[in-house]
Amino acid sequence: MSPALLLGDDDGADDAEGFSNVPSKVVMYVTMLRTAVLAGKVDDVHSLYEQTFRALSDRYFSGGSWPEWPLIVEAVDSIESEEDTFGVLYKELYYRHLYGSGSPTLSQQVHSWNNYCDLFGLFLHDGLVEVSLPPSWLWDMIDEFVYQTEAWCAFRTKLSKLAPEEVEYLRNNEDVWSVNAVLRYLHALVSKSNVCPWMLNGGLPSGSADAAAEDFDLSTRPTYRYIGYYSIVGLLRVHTLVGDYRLALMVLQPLHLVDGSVTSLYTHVTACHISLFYYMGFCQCMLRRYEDAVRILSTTLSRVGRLKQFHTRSYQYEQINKRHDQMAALLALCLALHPQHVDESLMVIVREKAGERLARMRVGEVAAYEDTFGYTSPKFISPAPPVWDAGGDMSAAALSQQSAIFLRDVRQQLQLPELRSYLKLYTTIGLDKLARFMNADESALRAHLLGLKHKAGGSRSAAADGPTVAAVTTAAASTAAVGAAVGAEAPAVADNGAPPSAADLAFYVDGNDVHVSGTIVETRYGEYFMEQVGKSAELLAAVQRRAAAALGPPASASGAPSGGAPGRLAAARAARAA
Amino acid sequence: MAEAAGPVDLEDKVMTLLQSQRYDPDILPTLEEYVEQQVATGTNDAMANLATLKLYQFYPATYKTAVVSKILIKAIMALPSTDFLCAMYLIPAATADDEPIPALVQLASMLETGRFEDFWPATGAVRQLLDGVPGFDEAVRSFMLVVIGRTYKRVERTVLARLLGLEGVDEAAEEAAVDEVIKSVGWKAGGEGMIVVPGNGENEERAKTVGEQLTFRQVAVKMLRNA
Repeated sequence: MSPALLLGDDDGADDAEGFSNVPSKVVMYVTMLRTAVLAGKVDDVHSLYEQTFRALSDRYFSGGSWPEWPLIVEAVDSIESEEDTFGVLYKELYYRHLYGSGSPTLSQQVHSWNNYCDLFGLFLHDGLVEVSLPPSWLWDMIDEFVYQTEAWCAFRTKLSKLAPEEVEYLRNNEDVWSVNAVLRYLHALVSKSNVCPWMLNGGLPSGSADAAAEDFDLSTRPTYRYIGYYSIVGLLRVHTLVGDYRLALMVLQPLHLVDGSVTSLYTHVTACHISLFYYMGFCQCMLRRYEDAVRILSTTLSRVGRLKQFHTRSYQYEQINKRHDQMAALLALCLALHPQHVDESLMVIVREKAGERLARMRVGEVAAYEDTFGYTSPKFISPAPPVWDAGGDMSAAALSQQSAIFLRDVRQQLQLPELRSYLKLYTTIGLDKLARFMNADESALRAHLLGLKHKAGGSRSAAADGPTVAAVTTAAASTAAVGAAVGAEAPAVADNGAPPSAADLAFYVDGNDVHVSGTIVETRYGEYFMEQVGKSAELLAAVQRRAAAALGPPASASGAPSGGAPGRLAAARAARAA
Repeated sequence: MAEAAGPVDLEDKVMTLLQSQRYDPDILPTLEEYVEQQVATGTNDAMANLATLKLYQFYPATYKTAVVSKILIKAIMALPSTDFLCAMYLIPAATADDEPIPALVQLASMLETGRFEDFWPATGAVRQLLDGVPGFDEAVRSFMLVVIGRTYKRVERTVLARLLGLEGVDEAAEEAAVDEVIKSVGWKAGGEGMIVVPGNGENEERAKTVGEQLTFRQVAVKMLRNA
C-alpha cells in the first residue's frame, strides 16, 4: 500500500473509533512507518514522515496529542512490547507534536527529556546502525532537542508561575534538561558518528562499511553521518544561546565553510541551511566581525528569498519566513554599525523589512539598536538554574544581559558615523577644523580617530577568510543543482562578495592633518562567471544524456520517448538565460 | 601534585581536560591554577580562560571574583582581539557589578574608544591589582602602538608621549622612554619633533579602486565540482 492512500478522503469505517480509541488509519500509518524504518526504506520513511504525519496530525489530533505509546502498542498488532525500538522514535514525534500544539506540562517535559536520553542512547550504543532515517527527520530531532532545551530554561525561570511542588521537583532534579547534559549529548553524537574524519577525508569514510569488521566506520551510515553533522549545528546553537560566540564559531571548523567544503550536508534540509547561517551571522555580529556577518547574511538572504517559494505548504514555511526577516534586520544592524557597500537587490530587502530600523540606527538612536537586537537575537538561556528561593520572573535575564553588553559596545561606536560623514566631505582637513565640526576638543577628536581605526580593524576575522564567500556561494550552487532542473532556476545570485576591505572610507593622520581617500569597490564578476560556466557544463551534460538516451539502444527504455523536445527546450531556456 | 609540574605540563593537562571534560566543574581547580600560571609567565590562553568563565556561568556557586578579574586583565592585555568582549558575554549580570569588574570594564572601554590619554590616570583605582600582573603596561602600550601606527603617518613626539602615558616631569627621562618605545617598533624620529611611522597599508594613501582577486583555490574548488 502506498503512503498516499492514507491521505485519501475515503471516509469509511476508518474514522469510527477503532480498537483502543486509535483511529484505524493511524494504526495503519504507524504500522507502515515502523516497517519502513526497520527495513531501512528511507524513501518511504521520508514521505510518511514529511507529508503523512502532518496530514494525520491535522485531521485527528489538532489541538490534542497523538495516542500515547502504550495505546499504540495495544492497537498495532506488529508491535509486541513497549520495549520496541520504534517506540523512542514514535515518542519523539509524539512529544514534538505535543510541544507544537501548546505548552507542555512539567511532567511531559520530563518524559520528553527521558525519551531523548533513550533515543540518543540508542544512537550511541549502535542501536540504529541498520536503521535509515531521512535527513529531514534527523535535522528535526536535533532542532527540536535544542528548542525543547530553550523551552525548559524559559519554563524554570518563570518562578512566579510555578506551583510550589513544581519548584520542589525542579530544585531536586537539576540534571533534567541540564544545558550541560545537552551539550554532552551533542558532543557524543558528533564523535560517535565519525562525521568529522569523514569530512576531513573529503566526504569519504575512512573505515569499512561492514558492521562486523574491525575498522567499521559509522560514517558509512547516512543516518549517523547526518545526526553527527546536525549535532555540530546543534552545538553552534546551544553555545550561541549561552553567549559563548567564539566557541560557537569554533565548533564549525570541521565543516570547512571557509575554504570551500566538498561536504555541504547542510544544504540537504533548508531549515538547517538557514539555521546554520543565521546563527553564524549572529555570532559574527556579536564578535564585531561585521564584514564577515554581512557577507554571510547577504548570501543567505538572497538564497532564502528564492527557496521560500518551495516551502509554502511546509510546516517550516513560517519558521523560514521569520528567520528571513530576522536576518534582514540583523543585516541592517551590521550595516548601521559598519557602513559598507552591498548589492542593491539586497538593500531592497533590507529597506523593505527593516528600513525604518536602519534609518533610526543610522542617526544613532540607541533604542533602535536595542529593539533590533531583541528582534534579531535567538532566545538566550541561562545555563544555571535560577535561585529557587528568589521567586519572581527571571525569564528576561539572559536576553537583557547579552543586550546590555552588546549595547555598551554599540555606544562606544555611536559617534563614529558622524565622524565618518565629515571625513567623507574632505580629502584633507586640519584636526582643529574637524574638532570644531565635531564639537570636541582636539584630544577627544584624536581619541575618536583612534577609536574609528580600532573598531574598523576588527570587523573581519584575520587572514584567509576571503574564501568564505566562495564556500557559501558554492553551496548555493550545489543546492540549486539538487533542487531544480537545469535551466528552470532563477539567475545566479548577483555577486556581493567583499574585496580585501569593504569599508568605503580610508584615512590617516599626518601630523595635524587628516587625509581621506574614498575607495570605489569594483563590481566583481569572477564568481558570477564561474557559476555560469558551471551551469553551462551541467546543461551540456544534461543535453548529452538526453540525446544519448534518445539515440541510443532501447536499453534505457524509460528515458527514450522523452528525447529531443525537452532537450531543445532546455537549450532554448539556456539561451534565454545567457 | 602541581608543584612538580612544569608550565608545559600544566598546559598539556588543561588541553586534555578541555577535550574530555570541558563541562565538568571538577576541572576548575586546574583551570584556575592555569590562570595563575598565565599571569606569572606572561602567556595568554583565551580559550582556556573562556572555558573557565563558562564553568562559572554553569555553576554559579563556584564563581571566584579574583580569578575572573585576572582573566579580564589578561583579556585587556590581549587587545585588539575580542577576548574582553567574549569574556563579558559569559559573566552573569549579577556578578558583573562586583568590584573590580566595573573598573576593568571602564579601562577596556577607554582603550577600545581610543581614549588613551584618559586611560593612564584611570588605572590608578586598580593599580595594585594591575601590578600583580607582570607586563600589563607594556601589553597595553603595544596595543596602543598598533592603533596609533594604523592611524598616523607622522605623529608629534609630545602627542605620542601623552597617548602612551610616558609624560614625565623630567624631559630627558621622557625622551629616553619615547625613544626606547619607538625603537622597539621600528619607528623613526623625523624633523620638527615628529615621529615617522613606516607605511603599513592603513596609514597611507589607499588605492582609489579595489579590484577583484580570486585565489586559485576558489576557482579550483568550483571548477572541479562542476567537472
